Formats: sequence, structure tokens, C-alpha cells
Amino acid sequence: MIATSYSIFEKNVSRPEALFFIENRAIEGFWIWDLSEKSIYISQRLFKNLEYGTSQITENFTLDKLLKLNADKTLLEQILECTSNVLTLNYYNKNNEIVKYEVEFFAVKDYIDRVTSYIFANLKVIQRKSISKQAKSFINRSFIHREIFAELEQIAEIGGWEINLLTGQIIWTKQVFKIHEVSEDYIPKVEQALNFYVREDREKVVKALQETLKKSKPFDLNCRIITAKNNIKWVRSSGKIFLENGKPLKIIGVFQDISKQIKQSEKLRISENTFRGNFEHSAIGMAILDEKGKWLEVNKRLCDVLGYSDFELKQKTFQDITHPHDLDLDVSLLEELAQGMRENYQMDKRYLHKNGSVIHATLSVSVVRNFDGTPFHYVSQILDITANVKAKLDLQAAITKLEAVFNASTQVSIIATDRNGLIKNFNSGAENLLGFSADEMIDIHTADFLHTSQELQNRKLELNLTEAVADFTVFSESIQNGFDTREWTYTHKDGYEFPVLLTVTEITENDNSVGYLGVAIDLSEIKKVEKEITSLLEITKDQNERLKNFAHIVSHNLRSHASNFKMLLDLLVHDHPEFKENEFIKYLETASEDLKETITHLNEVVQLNTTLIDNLEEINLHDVIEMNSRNVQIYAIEKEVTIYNNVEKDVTVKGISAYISSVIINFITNAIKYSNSNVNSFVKLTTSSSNDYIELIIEDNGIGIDLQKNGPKLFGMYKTFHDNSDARGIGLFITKNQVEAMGGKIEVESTLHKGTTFKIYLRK
Amino acid sequence: MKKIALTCIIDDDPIFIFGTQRMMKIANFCESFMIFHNGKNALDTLEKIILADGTLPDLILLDLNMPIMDGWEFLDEFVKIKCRQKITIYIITSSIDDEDVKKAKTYSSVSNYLLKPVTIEGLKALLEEI
Repeated sequence: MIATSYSIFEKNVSRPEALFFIENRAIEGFWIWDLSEKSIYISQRLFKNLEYGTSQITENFTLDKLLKLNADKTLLEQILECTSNVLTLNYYNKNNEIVKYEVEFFAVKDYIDRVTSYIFANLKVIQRKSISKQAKSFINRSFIHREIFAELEQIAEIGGWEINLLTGQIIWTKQVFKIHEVSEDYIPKVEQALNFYVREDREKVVKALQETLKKSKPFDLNCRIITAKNNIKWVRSSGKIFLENGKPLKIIGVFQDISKQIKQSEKLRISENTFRGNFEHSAIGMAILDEKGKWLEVNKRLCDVLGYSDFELKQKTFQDITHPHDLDLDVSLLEELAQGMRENYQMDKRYLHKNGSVIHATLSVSVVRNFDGTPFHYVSQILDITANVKAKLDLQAAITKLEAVFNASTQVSIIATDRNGLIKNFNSGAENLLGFSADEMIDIHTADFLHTSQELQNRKLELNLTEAVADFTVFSESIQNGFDTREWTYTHKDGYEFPVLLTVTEITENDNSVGYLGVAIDLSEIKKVEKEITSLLEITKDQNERLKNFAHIVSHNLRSHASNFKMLLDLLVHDHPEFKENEFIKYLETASEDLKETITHLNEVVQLNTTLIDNLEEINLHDVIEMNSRNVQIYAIEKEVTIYNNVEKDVTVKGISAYISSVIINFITNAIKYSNSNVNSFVKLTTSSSNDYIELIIEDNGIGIDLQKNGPKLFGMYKTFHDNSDARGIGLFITKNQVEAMGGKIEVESTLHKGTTFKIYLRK
Repeated sequence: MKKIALTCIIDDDPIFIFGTQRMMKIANFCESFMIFHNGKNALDTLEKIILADGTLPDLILLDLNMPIMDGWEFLDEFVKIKCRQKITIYIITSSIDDEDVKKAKTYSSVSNYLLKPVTIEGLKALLEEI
């Protein structure tokens, strides 16, 4: 019991007040109701008043045994309703009779202002069944004081002292001697008593005493003393002046060793600082909220996470910054916490950042309660998991996309297997192409099931595998650099076979092979097209062959008939010279000549090699031009056209001699043929060089070509653009094909009546 | 200008043979002719003449496209027959196929390659050449 009461005083910051209260009020005894320990301490005086013997001081005194309580109200309710601190209590005495007292109570509070216990001091008896003799004898007030002090000393290691201001005499109680570590026969004097205080505190005490004397104000100090045994102790010394007839009579004070408390409060301070340090510098957002959800304390991390300053955040409630979708759950969990249904809760929730963005967090809330169980405040820990959530969402999105690709490929078969080839995934493309459903395949067949056994055996032979090995081995064994692509034949559920291009890729996880992925596309259509192309090629070859035969017929048979015409006409005219002027004969001769020429051109066209020729020879352009201009010199002189060969002597091109000659002859002949008879006609040949080509530029000042009208047809077969009777478009057609066969090209610029420039690009 | 005594024409085209004979007469090229309509006839007859040491033609005008035995086959067989007399052989054809021209050049016994039709001017030039 004593220990319990002692603990009350240990905890209580308001102890000196409590002691003064008891000393001044508890004339008829007192009792203490410890709320935290749920126990009662009853003073000896009250015990005596209630007629108990000292032997009956027991620990198991309960509220019910001590008091007759009102039926409708608890004691606590009475206390809370009471405004004056004065109640009437009905005590039971030893004989269970009611003894009525007027009682003043005092609330003892801890450092956070929480009531831990109540002290009830009996002011006066209102109604007593019997007054004991002992009670009557306790009238002497000072005696009562002494008795109370003795009792208090016992329960709280508190000493009392008194300075008689008239005599200067000092009275110490037992406990004071004990605190000073002096024997009880020590006679304290004022000066000596003050000397116990350490130098730094002594002045403080003296000053406090002087203040008290001057202004009759009570003092209360925490000071250090050095005991007779040279121990330093923290003591709490408080005092109050007593007046007699308006004059100061004495100072009475309480003296208590508070070294333990100081030590404890130091510990508390350290632990509080530790908490505060943790709070402030935590990597997790932390907050203390009041029971309404308003932020009381927030740490820096939380401010950073939510984007608010400390000040801004404290203006808000958690409801303000919680994502509306998560608010109901949070509030209902908090409600459960408030009602004591739980001690803490965790939830993943979303907050709204100051900038409006969503913050994902894991919230842990615990509660600190008042002694009556109502929430005092909440402690929240808020871990920002936005990055994790985002990563998770990104991952989910990536997986979804991959799955979408896997499933959306309706024309591409994707089959995943384990290491032994057992099918683990079978996409809709595979279902589509093969006719089997995924359910029929997954965990039932190995991928080789879909292939023809003949091909599997053939592949085994190619890979030098024995027949005994599993068929699927042909796929895993084929893999090089992680994959293998080749043509296979799949068998449809309906039994028909079709060609596929299959790529088998090894699936690895952390460098370990875990299976294979087979991606196949149906080659049926491609094969069909391939077949069509092949047959088309056959037809083309055939037609080409026929064309060659045709050319042969043209060059041999047709031509021999034509030449016979010519010969017979010549002979006819020879035998009958009078026919020479006959118009029929003349036209027949012309027709015969034209037929011959047409056959010649046709033959050239047929013989023309239009495919690109690779083995080209080096040809000196200047020399070729020189040689060919000589061949047409007579014609040029006749038409009064000057040929300028301005090509540098060392320019060479890659080509075929016969083609180059033919091209040059053709252009020079054309230039002469289509010269303008009104000017000094010329044809000028120059070259310029570009990256890949030598450009042979053949310029004339002839009659020109209307490119607008004839451009697209210029190099076509049998197109004639001029009125000249001997014009033959076949020349340009052949020339163009010859240039292209040598890997070159031709460009043309022309102005009617001004001239034409051909640019012939030849390989360097 | 030397006149050729006997010209052998090997051609399956009667118009050509008719025309050429007339031309040669007009050009005063040759008086007598030996005519064959395919290589086989020509080869057989010429071989007999050689064996009998009879009169051989000075000039053979050889067509390429003929039934039974064509000009090439004739050439291949004819060069095998040993003959003391030098006979000038001209290929005369309507073929302007490059391949034929090239092939003709590979036969050392072939003097030249003439394109039909034959003209009086052409015959005169030919006579000069011989």
C-alpha cells in the first residue's frame, strides 16, 4: 500500500500542491484513489475515524467497501460534475454504519496534464453515528499536522521543515535529516542549512526565502545539495509563510529528494529527443494527429512527399489530402481505432500532392489513448510507395501488352514449351493455323506432335541423332546462337499438311534455359506464289525461246524473200530498161528497200541484250568518237554539219565496244539528220565526270524536239518526231537499251528550233 | 578482170539460183554453173569429180539454210576430202545473225561471208577480190 502511494507521488508533478492540500484540509483524515493502479490508500486518521484498529490496515480496501455510492452516479461522474471541488461522501465505518463527511478533493495530474489520482480530504463530519474517544482527543491542530507529516514522510519520503522567524529555530522532520545524511541529533542552523546547497544554487534559495518574507509568496525550487556524506542530490524545496496577527511567524516547507525523478526526467528527455530525432529525420513520413485528424506534428519527409510546407500541412486535416476514393476506408478504420476495436491499422492509400498528382503510400496508424480510453492522439507513418506502384503498373502494362501480342496474333502461331518440349502456351494464332484448341495441347503434347514424322526422322539423320532420342530433340539440337529458323511442315487437326517457317528460340531465365518458344508463320500462300512465279518464269523462258526462233526466221527466211524481191526487181529493170521510169516499179523498189530495212531493225531489237552486263571493258571515249565520226564524215559534209570531238584524250568508260560505237553513231547521225539548214550546224561532244559516271554530252543546234509533246515516247519503238521522211525512232530505242545494258542512263534537253542536248551517263 | 570458168551454187532457193545466174551473166562473171539444191547432193557429186579427177568449180557459193544437209555440215564434210585444186568458198546467206558470221570465221576454207541479195555491183567487187 505504501509502495503504491509512493508511486503516485513519484509520478506526480503536482505533489507539493497535493501535500499542502493534505496538510491544510485533511483535518479529519484523507484517502487517495489511484486511477492508474485502481487502488485506494486510506490515511491512519481516517481509519481511526472509521473505528478500524491499526491491525486492520489492509490492502484490499475497495471503493465499495469504503463508500456508499449513489446508485445512479459513479464517483467519477460526481467528481466531473462538481464545480466547487467539495462533495458529501458516505463512508462505511467498521460496523457498516454510514458516516457522512464533507470532503474536498484534489486532482493529481501527470506531466501531460492527465489525472492519475484523486485525493479526498475530509473537511468535517456532518453526521456521525458514534464519535470515538480517540477522535475527540485529536483536536489539537498542530498535533494533527505533526501526525499527517509523519504519515506523509512514511508514504512519500518527504520531509518537512519549519523556521521560527522570531527565534530563528529550525525544526526538521526525520526525513530531512535522512536526505542530508546527518544523524537525527544534528542541530540545524539557518546558515548551516543553507551551506548544504551547492554554491550555484545557494543564492537562489536565499533569494527565494527573502522574497517569501517580503511578499508572503510561497516558493518552490529544484536545487542541488551536497550531503554530509558528500553526495550530490537534487532536492525540491518549497515553502510558505505563516502569519500571526498579520506578522510573519514562521516558514513551513516541504523537502524532498528528487534525484530519482530528475534522473528519470533526464532519461525521458533523452528518450523524447531520440524520438524527436527519429521523427524529424525519418526516411518515412511521420505525423502526430489530434483526435479530429488535424496534423499536430509532421516531419520533413512527409512534407517532401506531399509537397506542402510544415505550416501549410498543419492547416489541413488528413481528409483534405486523401484521395476521395480511399477516404471512406481510412475514416472507417480510424473510427474502429477510436472505438478501441483495434490498436492500429495499415492500409495502402493514395494522397493528393500539392501539385495535384497522386501519391501512393502505405499508411500505419497507431493510437495514444487517454486514461479513459478515448483517443488522445494518433501516430501515423506514411511510406511513399509511388515509385513501386508506378513500376508495378508499368510492369503490369508491359505484361498486358505482351499477352495482347501473344493472343492477338491470329495468323502467327506462338507455342511455348518447357525444356522437354511439353507445350505450356498455345496462342490463338496456333489454334487458328492448326485447328487444335489450347486445352487439347497444353501439358498434353510435346511440340513435335504437330510435325510430320518423316521430317523429324530426316532432321535426326541430318543432326546425326539416333532414332531413339525424343523427337523434340531435333529442335533443341538445331539451336545456334539462341535460335533456329527453318522450314517445317505442320499437320492440321483435320490431317492436311502445310508448310511453315518456324523460329525456335531458347527461353532463358537468369542464364538458365527454361524452355523454348516456337513462332511459326504459314507459308502456304507464299509457296503458292513461289510456284506461280516459277511457272511464270517457265512461260517467259519458253516465250523468249520462241522470240529467238522468230528472230532466226526474220534474219534468215523473211530476209531471203525480201532480198529475192530486190534481186528480181534489179534484173527486171536490167532486162527492160524502159521500166526504170515506171511508177509501179519505182514504188516496188522503195517497198522492197523499206522491207529490208525494217527486217534489219527488227532483228536488232530481238538481238538486243537488255540485261545488265557485268564484264564491261575499258574503252577510250575520245578514240571511239574519232573513229565513228570518220565513218559519217561524208554524210556530215553533205549536210554541212561540223563535228567537234572535245572529249579529253584520257577519258575512259566501262562498256561494250560495239554498243558504245552504235550509241555514238546513232546520236551523231541523228544530229546530222535533224540539223537546221539555216544556221552553221554543229554537233559537239564533251564529257564531265560525277561520282559514279562519265557524262557524255552530245549537243547540237538542230531543229530540236518538242519534249512536251513527244518526251514520253522519245525512246519508244518506231516513234518518229520529225517530218524528215527517213526518220526512224527505232534508233533511240536501241540506243537507250544499249546504254542501260551497260549500267548507264540517258537524259535529254531540247528546245524546238534551237537544238538538242543528250546526256549519256556511262560507268566510270 | 579474170572470168571465172565454173561456179558452183549450193542453195535450195530456185529464185536465188535463177537471179544469181542471170546476174553473173550480166556482170560477165561466169558462163557455166553447177547447181545443187542441198549440201548432200553437192558433196556427193563434188567428191565423185575429185575422185575421178574431173573439172572442179573455181568458186562455190554456199547457202547455210538447206534441207537434208545444211551449209555447215557440207563444210565439215568437204574439208575432209583431199583435193589438189584450190577452191574458193563464199558463204552467201540472208542470215544477218552475228552468231553465223562468227561461226563462218572459224572455217579457214571460207573466204568471205556475203549477204543476200546479190547485186551486179556486188558481183563485180567479188570478182576483183578473187
